Amino acid sequence: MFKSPGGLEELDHESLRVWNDMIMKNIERQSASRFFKSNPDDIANGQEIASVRWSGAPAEPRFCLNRDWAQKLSDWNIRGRHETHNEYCEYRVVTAVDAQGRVRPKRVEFTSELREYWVVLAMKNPQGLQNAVENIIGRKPTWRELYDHDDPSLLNEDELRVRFSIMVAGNGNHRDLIDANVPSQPQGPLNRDNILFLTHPINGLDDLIYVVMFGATPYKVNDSSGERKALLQEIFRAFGVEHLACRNADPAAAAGPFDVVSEGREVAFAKNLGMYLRPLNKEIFEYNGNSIPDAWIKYSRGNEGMYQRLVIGPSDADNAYLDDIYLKKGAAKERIIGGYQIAEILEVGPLVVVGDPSIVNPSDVKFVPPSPSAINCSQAGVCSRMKQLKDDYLSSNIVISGGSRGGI
Amino acid sequence: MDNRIQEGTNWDIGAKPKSHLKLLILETTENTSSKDLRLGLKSIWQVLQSLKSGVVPSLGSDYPVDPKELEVLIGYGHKFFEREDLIVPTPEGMLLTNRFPQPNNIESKQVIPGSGIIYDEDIQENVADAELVIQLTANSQLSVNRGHVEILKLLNAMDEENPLETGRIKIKEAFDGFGREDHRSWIDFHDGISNLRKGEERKQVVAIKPDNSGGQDWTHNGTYMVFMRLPVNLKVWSEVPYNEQEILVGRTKKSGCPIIRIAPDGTPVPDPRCPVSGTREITEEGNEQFREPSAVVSDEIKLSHVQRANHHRSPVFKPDSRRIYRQGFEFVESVGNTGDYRVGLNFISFQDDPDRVLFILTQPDWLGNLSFGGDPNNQYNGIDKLVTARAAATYFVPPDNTEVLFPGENMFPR
Repeated sequence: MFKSPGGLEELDHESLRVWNDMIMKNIERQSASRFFKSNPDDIANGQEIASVRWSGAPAEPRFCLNRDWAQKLSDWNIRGRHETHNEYCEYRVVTAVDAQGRVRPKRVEFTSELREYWVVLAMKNPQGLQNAVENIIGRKPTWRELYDHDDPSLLNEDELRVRFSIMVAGNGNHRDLIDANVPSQPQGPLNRDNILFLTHPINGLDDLIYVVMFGATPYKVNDSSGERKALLQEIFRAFGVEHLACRNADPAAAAGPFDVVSEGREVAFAKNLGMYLRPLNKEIFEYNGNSIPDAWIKYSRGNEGMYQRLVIGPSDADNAYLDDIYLKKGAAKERIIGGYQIAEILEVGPLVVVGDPSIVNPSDVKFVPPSPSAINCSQAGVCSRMKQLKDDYLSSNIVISGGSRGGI
Repeated sequence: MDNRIQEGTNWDIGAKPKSHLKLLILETTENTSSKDLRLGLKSIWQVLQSLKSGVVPSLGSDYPVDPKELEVLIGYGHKFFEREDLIVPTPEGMLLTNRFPQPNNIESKQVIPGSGIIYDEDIQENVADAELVIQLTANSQLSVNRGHVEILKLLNAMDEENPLETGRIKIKEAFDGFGREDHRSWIDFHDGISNLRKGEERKQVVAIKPDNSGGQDWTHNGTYMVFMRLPVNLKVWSEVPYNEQEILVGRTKKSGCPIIRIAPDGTPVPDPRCPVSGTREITEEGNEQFREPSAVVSDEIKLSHVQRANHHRSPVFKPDSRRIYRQGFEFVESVGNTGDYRVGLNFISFQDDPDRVLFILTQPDWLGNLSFGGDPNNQYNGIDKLVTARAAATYFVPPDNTEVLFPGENMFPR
């Protein structure tokens, strides 16, 4: 039923079956309204839409601190990635040494690829996994880098999964992997020194399915003005998951299905269930007073409209660096010094299929208590962690390079 | 401190947009100190408060006039925050990234990089990029014009008192506008009808909150105003065939019903449920659900203006929803001595983060690189210049409270 994310052709028939099982297991784990369909083919006149999406920039450091600190912390190497990149968009800055011997940012690599897809590849098709990694990092990884073992053919599927998770994927917050002592983030260098796919435990397939299904109910409230469509914060509050409304991904992933089922439309994940990077406006990038070369914005890991990887910046062969590129935003012309500036203008989201509108019966509606006030995200529990991260950053005595700003 | 959102934002239940607008752009001379500016603003504010209660300074309270629900709002532009002696840090939303640049600083004269709206050819300076803005709204043209003239009289009197330092504060530009009770724009389509609900929903978009104040508590319940003076080229519009107009807008011209797809013969297909039986337009009761078009439309209609400008995201309190609370005041003005006339819209929006607007104007799936809408690679002749700009700016609109003589006074040195 479900195909590979991005329309990639790395999964064989058996791997696709496992991928489908994984999706279905997550769908079956929770209840949903009659408007949610597990199979997109069950929706008459189904139409694929890309309107469920959100900003890829980490929201937590921004609402807990401010934009300046959000940029610093999100760009803070692997620590920033692991602690803040939880909007289904992770990035890594590639550095290089220039002619003067200075270490400078060369390009930024973004990914929105789901961890679970790669785990299926690791379990079912080690050779395909090795090829996929080679296509990304430009060299064939060793089996030891992938599995901490010299011969994956000697390992069963469970062992492949656990070992790959330890080395490359992290535990994705899966109970059995946590019990098997798989760390939250990968220990091996392949997906730390490079960026292959999402590893933040919150950026998971299970969370995505949970939130979309959670939203796919016509919630309403009864207040002094009568019956009305519920506000997102009222729904999140009613289910005690208020904190989820503070991030970019969760409210957007719930709001999209919620809005369409409130029109009596059926909704399902598109067959290419995945997380996709939306287009950028090339006009706002400038190099040497001109637009940047097309080759410096390179989408991959998917067919058009379903890209899961984006690399911005010069190749190794180019005698230019990321911080030679300016981002024109308002009257500012900022050198690009990391990924946060780009993540702010990069949207991500899944594709969903929706049907025609229909009558929403009273029995379809779930009422939640009226509570329209905004959620004060700056008081969220995560903010103490963000403040600690800021303190750690300050005590690490990092020197910021190349962060000049100009005006136009 | 009990911070309140300034009046003139019309967010609250019961608030009604006024019929007339006067937007005064104020500038100061280079040697106007912050202390002098504070004193000047204090006097201006006193005059305006007096007018609000119907008292014209030279007539006194014995001969009151009808203020026609005059409302006054003051905002501070990027130039104000270039002052070095302010006693507060620059608000989080007044970064250079949220400033509209001067037209001559961008080769293609875009109103902002990444936008398809460009300045009119005769515009050399973006006059809205100034220190201060005063928004006067009321239900009569006289009332807003009286406010304008009384400020002029005050500034002249101040100059006469200090002849050696004349013109320290002056009105650089005054933009007029008026509301339309037919809820349409100059292109005859409905406009501004998918706005947010009054009360809590609007407040959540408008008011600066702890989440986006960057730790600057004093800005809470302040807001940011984005203003653009946008002429509309009616000659270009009149040459677009009727059906194509509806496809470009994403609504039917007469009823205002949302278009959901295009039929094989090229005819736009509106939502069949709209308007509800017994009504003719979506502004009539019973059609509320159609004022905000569904996000589920065909790919061609996704390119329409209404779909690009509003992706219907929630929760609205999050800047990532890109929802804004927009007020529109139309204008008609003569073009020099040419006998020609210019029509257009004073776009005024209030939001807790100006980036909500700038993102909409610059992102490719939104209005980025477009003047109005449609397919950027297949624009009708001239549609790429349907909407142009004459001025644009972002202003910080500080909260009002009982401890200040005028909103924003707490930013000035004493």
